[in-house]
Amino acid sequence: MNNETFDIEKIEMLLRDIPERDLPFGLHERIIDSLPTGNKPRGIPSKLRTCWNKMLLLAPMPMRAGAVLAMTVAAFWLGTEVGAEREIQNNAFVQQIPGNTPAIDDDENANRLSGMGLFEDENNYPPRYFFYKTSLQEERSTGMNRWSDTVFRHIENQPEDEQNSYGTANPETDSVLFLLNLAHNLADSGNYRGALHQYEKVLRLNPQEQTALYNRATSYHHLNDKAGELQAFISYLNQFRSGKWAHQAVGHLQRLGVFDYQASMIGGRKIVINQTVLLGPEQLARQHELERLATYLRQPSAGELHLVVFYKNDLDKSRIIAAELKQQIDSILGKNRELPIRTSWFDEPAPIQTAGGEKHELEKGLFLFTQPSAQQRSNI
Amino acid sequence: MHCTDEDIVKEVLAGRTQRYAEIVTRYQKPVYNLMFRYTRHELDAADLTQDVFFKAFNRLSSYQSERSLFSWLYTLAVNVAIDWSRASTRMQTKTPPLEELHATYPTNRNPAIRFEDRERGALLDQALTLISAETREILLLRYRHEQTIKEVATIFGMSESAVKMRIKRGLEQLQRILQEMNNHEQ
Repeated sequence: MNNETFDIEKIEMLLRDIPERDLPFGLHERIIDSLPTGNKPRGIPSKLRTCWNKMLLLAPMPMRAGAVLAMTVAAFWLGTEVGAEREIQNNAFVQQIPGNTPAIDDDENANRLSGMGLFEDENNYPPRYFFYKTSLQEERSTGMNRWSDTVFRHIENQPEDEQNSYGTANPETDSVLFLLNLAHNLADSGNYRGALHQYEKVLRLNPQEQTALYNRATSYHHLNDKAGELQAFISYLNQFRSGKWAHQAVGHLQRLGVFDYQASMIGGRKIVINQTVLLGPEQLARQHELERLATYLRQPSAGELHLVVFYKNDLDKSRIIAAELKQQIDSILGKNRELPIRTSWFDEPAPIQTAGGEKHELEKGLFLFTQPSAQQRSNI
Repeated sequence: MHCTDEDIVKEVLAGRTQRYAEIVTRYQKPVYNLMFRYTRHELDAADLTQDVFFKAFNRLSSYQSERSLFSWLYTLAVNVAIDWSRASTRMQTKTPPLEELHATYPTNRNPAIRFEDRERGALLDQALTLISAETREILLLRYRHEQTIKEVATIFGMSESAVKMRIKRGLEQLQRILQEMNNHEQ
């Protein structure tokens, strides 16, 4: 950040990419519930809620306050009863096997307590099994985060081999959320190699995990491993072609000297396309690449498609490829979607500016974008 | 099957009111974010978002399809936000001194992708709180939501040239603030 200058173009770019806050939980339902329509889901909980609200509306103020108080006290009492019961069961579980390694239990609290006990006792038996089991049993992500934080605190001072062994011992009990959070913690503490290892494990469990795919690349970046970073960003773009992070990935690839990908405005959305594949000789790969765009090309807002191909000093090649691409797009969209495609071609190199502001000259390339049709424009 | 906003509005007005949920799904996030920028408070922002969609539902018959639904809804939302600002006694008009800005960068709430742009995004977020609410929203509508000058002018009830001038000055203002914040950090 230091020494960075903010010119107007950069500020415009930052404004375009400014992240939005996530919605609070249940906002959508709340909005729908508030509408004076028959929209509301009429399930049992909804009916009970309506009934309760009606009761409260009808009741005079002291009765209403009394009812709320009674409900609160009852809920509190029930909670303490259940909690006490569980505590007794957990204590019994731990006390039953003094000096021995406890067994994995069906109760997440028991496993959690066993794991913590093993940490404190410095028992040789790895406590991770218990935390993994807990993380699987406890569905709430905050719970999992808590235990991955605990494991993180425990392992951050361990040798690297030992760190890497966490989470690998039992694939059955691996949990993506658990590993992701562990990886984030390692990355936040500056241990990018450890984080990378955990992200790799996440990707073995779920090869399309978006966060892990992207953060794997940024971990490579922090480790100054350019080859790894490049490959990781390409892997990300193999899975994801729209959204802020796809565009960031394109910017990173351009910084690394790879200009295969570029953003195109199609059907009102910015989509990343692989222009090298689209210009290349591999028909199947080109077909696959175009199929990715089909959804966006079918949007009504994609009034007409402009397709511009350029090859330095080779006008014929530009023209042939433009015609081939037009034909392929037509055949993918089929007769149900007649999208006017306007092709053009030229034999000059095209200058481009990277996200970092550097200027480059591309000897071959492709511009692909949609615009509202003439009719749509006249309607506006 | 993808339906346009206009189609959905027609369906809602024809009595299939459950289709309104689709409109809520499409636009709740920008509306909520607008409200959060005004209120800086999650619960207040959620309340106002609910209010906007409630009002929009009741006034849906006044929507005219020459405008985009987003623009119509956003006009309503901006008015709700301005009313709230006027009424709210909690609204702070005093801007924090620059020294405080560096200690209070909001952290990225999403624990997922968070290595990048955190500093830059946080700086911009802070800088946006230091310019007038109207200028901030004009800039965000123009760049974040990619609205045309004409749409922005309609939403804020201004002439197009006034919007252009506001954008130019807003960008310059942001540039000065960001530069100052950045120098301060060095």
